[in-house]
Amino acid sequence: MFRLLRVELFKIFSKPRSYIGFLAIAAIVMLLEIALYIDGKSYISFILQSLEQSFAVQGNLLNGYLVCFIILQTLIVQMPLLVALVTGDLISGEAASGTLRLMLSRPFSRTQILTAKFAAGSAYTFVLLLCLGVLALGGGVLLFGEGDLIVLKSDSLVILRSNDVLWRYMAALSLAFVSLLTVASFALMLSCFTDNSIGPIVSSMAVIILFTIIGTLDVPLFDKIKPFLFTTHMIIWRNLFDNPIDKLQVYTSVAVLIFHIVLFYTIALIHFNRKDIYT
Amino acid sequence: MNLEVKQGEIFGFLGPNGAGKSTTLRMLLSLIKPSSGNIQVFGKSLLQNREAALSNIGCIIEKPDFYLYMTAAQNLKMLAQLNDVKNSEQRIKEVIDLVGLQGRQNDKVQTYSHGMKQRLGLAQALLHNPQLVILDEPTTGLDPQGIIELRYLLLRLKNEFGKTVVLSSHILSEVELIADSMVIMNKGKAVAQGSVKQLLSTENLIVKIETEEAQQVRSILNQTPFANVIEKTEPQSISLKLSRSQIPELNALLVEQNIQVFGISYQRPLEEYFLKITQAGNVHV
Amino acid sequence: MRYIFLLFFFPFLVHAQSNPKQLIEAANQRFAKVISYSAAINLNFQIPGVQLEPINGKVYYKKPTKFRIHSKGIIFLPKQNPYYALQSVRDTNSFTAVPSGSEILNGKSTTIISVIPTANSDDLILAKFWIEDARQLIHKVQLTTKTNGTITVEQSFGLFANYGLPDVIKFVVDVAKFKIPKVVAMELNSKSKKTDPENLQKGTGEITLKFSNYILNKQLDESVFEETKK
Repeated sequence: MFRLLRVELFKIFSKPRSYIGFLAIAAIVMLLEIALYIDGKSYISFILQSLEQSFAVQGNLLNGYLVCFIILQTLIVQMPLLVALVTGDLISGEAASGTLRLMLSRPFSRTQILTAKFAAGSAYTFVLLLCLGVLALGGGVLLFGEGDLIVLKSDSLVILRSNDVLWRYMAALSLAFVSLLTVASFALMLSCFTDNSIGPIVSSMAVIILFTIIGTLDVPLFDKIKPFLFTTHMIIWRNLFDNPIDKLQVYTSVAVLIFHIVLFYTIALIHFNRKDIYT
Repeated sequence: MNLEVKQGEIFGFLGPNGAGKSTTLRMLLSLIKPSSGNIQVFGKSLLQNREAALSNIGCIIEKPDFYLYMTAAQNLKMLAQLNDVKNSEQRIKEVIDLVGLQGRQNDKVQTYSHGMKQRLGLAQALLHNPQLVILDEPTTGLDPQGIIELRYLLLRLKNEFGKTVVLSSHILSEVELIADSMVIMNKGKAVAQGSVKQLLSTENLIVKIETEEAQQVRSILNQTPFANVIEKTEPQSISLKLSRSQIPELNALLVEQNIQVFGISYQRPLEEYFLKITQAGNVHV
Repeated sequence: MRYIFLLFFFPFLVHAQSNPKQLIEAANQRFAKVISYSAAINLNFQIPGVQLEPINGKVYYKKPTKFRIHSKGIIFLPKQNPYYALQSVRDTNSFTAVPSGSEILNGKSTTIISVIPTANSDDLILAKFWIEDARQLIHKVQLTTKTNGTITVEQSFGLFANYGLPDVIKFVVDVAKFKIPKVVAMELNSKSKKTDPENLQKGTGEITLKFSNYILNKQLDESVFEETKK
């Protein structure tokens, strides 16, 4: 099994497409950091304009923690796509290129092969997220320094003291990993149902966007189904920047996401074990 | 279908396109599940003991496909890792030399010609030194020189290395040259099975004589023991069922009778049958 | 925030005088004793729409008007510029002082003095002082300015009452309702806790400063009064 995992990791990381995600993240993070470096103060002023009528706000407002927060929010849609780009291709890509039969004629069970692919996809997701964390947080702190984090809401501000921020980011990235793992397992599941490389990737994104739209709309009918959509729980990392943190909500969302991961993986496993390989 | 392949022989899998050859081979590799029945490889059930069975099989199914963004060596190294091949570097070198890809192993597979990919396919099939080698139409896309080289290689595998080879093809002559046993498939069924010598014997050949005096030849033959073996008379030819050894006698008779013969050819019954099903695809046995 | 001077420029050891102007003049004289000070402070914030943990800092003052609070984190300070108010009441001819009754504050009897600038060009519209009868300490000030609305300052005294330096100052400021578009807040589909609606209703914010470890009349470097970058 470890041999299989090593091979799957090698395949992912030797494929040029896998690096699109890293390049995209680097480009987006860099652009955002430059933009905020140049014009971040106007953004801060816009946010605080009503408060600045009454108060003089003092401190390092535009700091690395805020920049990282803005970057993470911006990448809410892009990150699932970058994950699906690789994980959606794990089975269907090999089926399309004919290498799936090469793999399946090796002395490994289909369960082992699928599990190794899922593990490798998860490792890729982790590395991608780590890259984001290092660039956004590390780069942000390097360029803008540390300071208290201003967490924006439409009707209020939560300002977290700098010594209370770093652990929240670590926890948020961990939750983001669980969220992206849900996307990875979903894309992998779709990948098992088709021999077409692009189909699962596009389908994953379409579903995520659709569910996100449903989650955003304030329609009573949708309110009933929102709690069951995994996209509703994918942004739970944001809750870690509340004060105090609603732990019950966090635990609930994590549980829902894990449930979805197990569900998608199980469906993938059942279908993959049953399907006849004609490619 | 009931098949038995003896250890150490080359087994031919013949049939027209769509007969079910690839499907059967895929079943041997558990890529497709049979609707019923059991497959055993070296005494191990494929259903219950898949990994153990597969560990002793090397194969090329349809065209050999690889990870195009990797080099040949990387592909083989990865597959060696999967099959837990000991001394993989040495083994990779051996199979590369065996299939004649020396000097090209560090090139990306996407730069390979079809023939080179076929060779690489063979290399990966042999990499883990399997006892059973399954090759699905391995001569497809090869030039005549390549076909000959492959033929010699397969004979080497059998004679020198003691491998069992299952070779599928839609070209009878190709299989005839190297196979010990064979099966002919049509529409998912085995329609002829046995040793090559037996199935492609030179007894009961359909001998065709090309002549413009077909009716006259018929009249002549009706006076001889050949009368019973006349199969068909056409304006420009006459066909008889003879053994190979009887052809010179027939030829001498026609020369003696001053019959102008433009050609004598023969086909084995199985060959004729195979040609029919290959061309028409609608023959019932 | 700099208007806090206002409080320290008025003497805390002013004898109760029937003439309110005299009372204020005495306060001016009184504060002359304090040339500079530094102190540790703890800042606490109760601002509608803003959740902000308390934080420690350091405060520096130098006669006549230099005042700066340093803190590592983000702090909200009242905006009112004290110089105008200070200038307005320094010259006793530039304002009218009117006794406006009395009130019990912090258990102390205080006299209320209303100060109205005589010149229309001043930013200050009205100032009100609650001065303790017994010790002539200013327990409360209410300033109404043209540009910054109304600010109320409440003080309580402890160890340094003799110098007129408070232990606690509380500023109460009018606050506009905080609102930004959801898109700007990137709050689409967020499940974040909603802000307490009761908190949002309030129109005033409070900033409380707790002073400790006063160091009086020691040389202070000018760099401590430089504005820290935002």
